[in-house]
Amino acid sequence: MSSLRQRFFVDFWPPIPTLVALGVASAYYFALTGTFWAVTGEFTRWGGHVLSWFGLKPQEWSYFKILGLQGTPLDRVDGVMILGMFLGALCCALWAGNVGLRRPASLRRLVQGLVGGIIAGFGARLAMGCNLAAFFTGIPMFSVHAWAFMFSTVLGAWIGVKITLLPFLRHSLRVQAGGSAMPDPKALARRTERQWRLGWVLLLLSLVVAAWRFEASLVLGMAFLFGLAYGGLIERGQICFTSAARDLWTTGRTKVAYGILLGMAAACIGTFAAIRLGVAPKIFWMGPNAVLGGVLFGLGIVLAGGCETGWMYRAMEGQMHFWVVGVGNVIGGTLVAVFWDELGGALALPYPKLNLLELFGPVGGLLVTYLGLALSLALVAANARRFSHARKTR
Amino acid sequence: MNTERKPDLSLDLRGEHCPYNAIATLETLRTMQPGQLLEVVTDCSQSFHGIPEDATRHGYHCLAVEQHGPLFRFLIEVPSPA
Repeated sequence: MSSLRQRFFVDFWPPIPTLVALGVASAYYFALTGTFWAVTGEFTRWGGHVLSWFGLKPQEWSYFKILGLQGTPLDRVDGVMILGMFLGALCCALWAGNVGLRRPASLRRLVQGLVGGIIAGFGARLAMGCNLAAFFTGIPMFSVHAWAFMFSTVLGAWIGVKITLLPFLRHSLRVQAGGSAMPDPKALARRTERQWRLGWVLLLLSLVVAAWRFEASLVLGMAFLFGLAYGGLIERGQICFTSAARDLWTTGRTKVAYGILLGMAAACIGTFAAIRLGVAPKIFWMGPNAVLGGVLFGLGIVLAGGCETGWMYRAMEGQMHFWVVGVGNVIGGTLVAVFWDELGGALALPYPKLNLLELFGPVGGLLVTYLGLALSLALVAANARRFSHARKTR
Repeated sequence: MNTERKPDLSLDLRGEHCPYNAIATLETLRTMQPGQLLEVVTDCSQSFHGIPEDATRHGYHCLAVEQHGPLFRFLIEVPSPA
């Protein structure tokens, strides 16, 4: 038992199989709920709720007419799914003894997180999705805008890296001779046991919430359970979409990028099946909004240190920096809603909603998608070669 | 065991997030001599996957990855010339 616990509940899971599992789960989720796994739309609705406390009427704004702003988060598929994600990530972090308040390195870093979060939230909503709806679950919708967003995000991440590594955003290295003291093992073991038990209590509470939502409707209950699984998986695998885009430019990491591409490959056949059976795919405008949104999103997530799913599990682990990034995301998304009449009218609405399955036919569209994913895999591999054993040639 | 060897240098990255963790680790390693051992301490769980992958790709040996509650400790060796 103790070795099983170590292996599954403490040691982090390898990212590639975890991302494939997320891809498969996202396809089932689409078939069950009719919507894709997505978070930023709901973040923006939270911003809308906050604005309505101040007497504004966001439900009459055109952007919220697209998104819908009825009820509370607990009555919405996206809302209960996100609640599930937070609880799932928290359960997993507790089981691993990995919850602890982590203070940010400096105030400057915190401001950087807020600014990055706002830019990323704005870019994501401008393109009608984040690393999920305009990327990980957008490409399996066969929406062309998700491809534009993915490549623009990689470009934006390059700009983000340039800014992030500017001297005024660097801290001097804290280096000392010899080793540093680690926490006392006995105290640590007691703490870990406490968190382990707390994790199970939290799971029981979560199952009560699930039962309560199943009573409202099958879809809400299922969405909550899927949220638990998504949150648990991203925490266990430490899935960082930001790293996939950013580290193409910094250190040449490949694992997460491969995992994301393979996860989408696994999702595509499932979403394809659901679409063939009559579930309507979510297709968005292929306009400058997708490109501009992707660049801003890529820049913002690198500056902030995490994307819209990244901050969620990090916040649950107690990384205070990412509480601020989350607030930034909500602010950024809400800004798009405020200025949507100008932004959407110029950058999105006049442009067509391009569906690969209609452009190339069902078989052709599927083929083009898989060819695109294979090409992307090859590009990641070729890029990584620039970094391999760089030290020896220096 | 490797983990009991005393590191030559220790890099404290608590409170920092990516990409600073990865960049700072590689920068510190670059200043070190062959055969020396670097200890890296972070409180960013994400570095659990990232730092070993980066170290290996850049030609260093990641000898140990440990979790101490919310802290993570890495031991990375600068390889001696063969």
